[in-house]
Amino acid sequence: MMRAETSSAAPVEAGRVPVHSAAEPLLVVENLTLCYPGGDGRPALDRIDLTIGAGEFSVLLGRSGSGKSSLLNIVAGLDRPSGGSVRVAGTELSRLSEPELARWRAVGIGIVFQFYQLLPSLTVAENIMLPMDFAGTIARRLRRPRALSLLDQVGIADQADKLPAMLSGGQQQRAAVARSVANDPPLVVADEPTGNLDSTSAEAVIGLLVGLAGAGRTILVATHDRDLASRARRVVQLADGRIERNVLSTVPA
Amino acid sequence: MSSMLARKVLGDLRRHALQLAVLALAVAIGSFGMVATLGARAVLDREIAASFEASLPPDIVVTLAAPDAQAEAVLRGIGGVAQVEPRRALQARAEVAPGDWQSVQLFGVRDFEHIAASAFSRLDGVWPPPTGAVLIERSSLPVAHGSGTLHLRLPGRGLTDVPVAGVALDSGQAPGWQDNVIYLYAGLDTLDALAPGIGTERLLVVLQPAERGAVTAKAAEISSALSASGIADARVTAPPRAHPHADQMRTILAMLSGLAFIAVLLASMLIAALLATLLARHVRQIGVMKALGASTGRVAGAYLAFAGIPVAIGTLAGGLAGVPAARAMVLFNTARLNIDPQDLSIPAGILAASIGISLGAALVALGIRVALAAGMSPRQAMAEAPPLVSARVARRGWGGGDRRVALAMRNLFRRPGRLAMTVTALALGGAILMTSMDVYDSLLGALDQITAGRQEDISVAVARPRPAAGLLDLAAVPGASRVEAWGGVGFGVPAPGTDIASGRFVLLAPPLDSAAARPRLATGRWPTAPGEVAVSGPLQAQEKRLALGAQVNLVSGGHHVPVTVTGQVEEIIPVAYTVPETVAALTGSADLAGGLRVSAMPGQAASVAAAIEERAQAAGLATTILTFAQLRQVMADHFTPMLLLLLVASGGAIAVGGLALGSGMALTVLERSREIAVIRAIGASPATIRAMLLLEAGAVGTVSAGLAGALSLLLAWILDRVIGAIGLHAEVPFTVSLPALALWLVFSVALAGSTALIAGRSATRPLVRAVLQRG
Repeated sequence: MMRAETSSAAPVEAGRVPVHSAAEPLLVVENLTLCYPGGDGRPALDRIDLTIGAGEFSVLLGRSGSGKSSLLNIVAGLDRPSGGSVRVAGTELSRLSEPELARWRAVGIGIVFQFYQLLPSLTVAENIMLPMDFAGTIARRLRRPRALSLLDQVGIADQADKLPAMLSGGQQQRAAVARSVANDPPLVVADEPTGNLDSTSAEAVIGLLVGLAGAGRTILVATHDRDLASRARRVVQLADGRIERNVLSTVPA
Repeated sequence: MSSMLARKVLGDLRRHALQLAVLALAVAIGSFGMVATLGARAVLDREIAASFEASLPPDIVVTLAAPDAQAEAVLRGIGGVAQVEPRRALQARAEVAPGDWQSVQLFGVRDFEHIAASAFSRLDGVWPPPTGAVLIERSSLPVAHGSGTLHLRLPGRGLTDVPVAGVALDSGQAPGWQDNVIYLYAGLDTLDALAPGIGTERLLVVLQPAERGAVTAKAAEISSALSASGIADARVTAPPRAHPHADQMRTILAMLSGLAFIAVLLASMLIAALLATLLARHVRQIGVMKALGASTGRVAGAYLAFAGIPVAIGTLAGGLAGVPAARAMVLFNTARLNIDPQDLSIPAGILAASIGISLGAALVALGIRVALAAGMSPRQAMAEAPPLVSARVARRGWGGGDRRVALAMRNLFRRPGRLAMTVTALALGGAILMTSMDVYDSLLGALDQITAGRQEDISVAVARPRPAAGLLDLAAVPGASRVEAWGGVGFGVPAPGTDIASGRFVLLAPPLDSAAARPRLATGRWPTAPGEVAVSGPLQAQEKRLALGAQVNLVSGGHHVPVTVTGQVEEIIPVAYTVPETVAALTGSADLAGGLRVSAMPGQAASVAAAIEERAQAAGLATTILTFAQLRQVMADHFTPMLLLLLVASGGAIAVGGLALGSGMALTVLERSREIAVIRAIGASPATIRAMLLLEAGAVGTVSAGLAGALSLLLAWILDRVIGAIGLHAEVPFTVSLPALALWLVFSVALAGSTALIAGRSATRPLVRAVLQRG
């Protein structure tokens, strides 16, 4: 395997050669720090530098408390860093006001939560259409057909008009994946997407995420699941708020 | 309670200090309302009665043509008579402003230091008034435009300036400002100087308490004794032992009782809503405690202590605050009724009952909520999430395809019970406000009904029937387009077998060719033959023997005339109508008239009234002259105390309703904080969140406005019946105030908007990450 430069000074893991990404960077994180108020003084994120190219399937790997979810939350615009910068597709998130950040979340990123977080008052199809309503970029008459198409792609088109409570966990997470791409964002982040699923459902969801990456979408997943990590093109290992390893595989996922 | 559980309770009290303060406030509102209204009712009930008794109302009134020492001596010699108070009365007119003449009743008192009946007291100035000066009754000051010197026109004299030496309080009279009368008091020497030989002589008789059970019999005995002494022209009446405005007072007391009930109801609903908000934060903790081994009873005890402390504090604080509020309500109402309360203390039993009821209601609401929360299983409590919508609700396509609208609308129905309570609490506030305005319009409608078709602009009444031709001359002034002389006489209904009547009422007879519209009939028919009368509801309330179809004797000036009551007219004053022959029978002459009805050219009513006034005074006639506008205003002023009470109540109810809506929205945001965070995470801007909450609150506001409108119709209908039955003894037409509905609609939407904005701010301020990470 060719050795590759990485954007951090983390050591290269034996057997996996860091590879310099030739793709245009979609996500650029520079000197990112995060301190929670009232904490023990140790930063949750400590001077993180990270670059992820467009179309990569990347995984943030680490134990609980390593900072992977904190990093994901900042990349997703759900939290504000204490210092540093985050640029997604050229947009500097720290400069966005709250309404601008909300707008960006509607069109610039898709989020898959660990606990699905489908809205119980809306049907599955309506949950997919809701972000389209927020963004307003897709014509109203096209929203339902698009939602049904997305649900078909994730294999649950027949559940479109049911309430989420009637679906299994795996089906709900598939619906959540479909929702994450409702507005065709360039980046999809997922925080422990398989953490609440049985192995079969987890495999199905992983397959969906891999499929999205294969179609050219940038995927960033926070997980402690090494099996999921093995399917990724880039693995960023965190511990105590710092990047320990950042490895880009030349082998397609 | 274990020490750890006690520490948890103390810690929770600190952490939720603000919410508990709001809960205490809600409890305090209920307690305040109960103590204020029930306390005011109890004090008013007591003080109205005490004030009336303190005025030494006479049990029997003997009216004479002239002062008669012999008559007085006869009365004092009759067993059972405790006191005899001579009192002279005459009617005059006072010019309170250029061209503005008001009625005056001037009372002559023999001995100001020993008033034995119809007592009044000194408030200010010289007592007794010096010769040539008068005292003015306090409630007449607004009519007289203050004290000072009164420009009087006395019967038989020209204009006279009479100095006012002081102010008196006479709680036995109807308030002067309400009846548009100036009450004056002077020594007999002053009356002799101002109007010698003019006026009505009365001997006011107060019986021994033991004799009060047979007043009519004692009055008959007095009448016989006077006749036996050769005093033939005495008229003996036994007036009812009630304040002239007793009906108005009863109405106010009834309204206060109703308001007390509403206060408790509203406060209970608000407490339940606030407790739901408070306990929602603790449901998961309850699950954890139960998982750790706490029993339902232990958990319930902890939360009863947690919420019970602010409930107790709120009850006490509200009750204490209610005491001065009750006093303020008493002072407000007694001022309107011209009473000086002597004792403002709320009876201990009433205070205890008021606090007990409000505390009990709060504890019931608390107990139910705590029982529901503590009774959950650990798994249920730890998994507690906002309930799901039903499939039926989910299928509703609100918003025409806009998921934001659909989400907001469906969320409304996730807790139908809470939605119903919030809507109802808010609706009650609006209902009371709209009811106040509906009832006021209804009362004015009653006036309009009564005066509908009335073509005359001026009413002229004389104290005693006069030759009609002479009266008609009074109105031969420029600007008068039509004048009618009406028969009129004061009459009484004697007790069977006696000449003793309980009161003196007015019987009117329009001329046969009268152009004036007849008063509307509530039932029965208009009298068309001699011996037939139609009476008003208030008259029937005062004299029960004048029921429809009754055959009674009327008496006036020694003349007895049998009559049949053929109908009930819609008037709000005690009056009866008949044909001229019946009045002639009572007066002993067909040529006498009791007054005039005058129509004036457009815009000239005031000048015509002033011209008639001059002529009447120049002729030495004691008259009461009122334009139609003045008469209507006098009637409308009687409604003011009731309306003000309702408006104050609506203010409190609206505050409670607003708190209920605010707490409902707060709970909505609290329960759905994770959902709202997810919505924000997938692209909803803060403005979108606020818009969705505004939609929810606006829907609540709009539905509650509709419910308030419907409730107000029911409440107004009930109040119209109550006021009509107790207060006016006349039908009050049911009227809906559209401006009130529009006002409430705007207000409720504005209220909903502001609570939604506050809730929206609360929902969008925290970081999305922080909300999602919460347990």
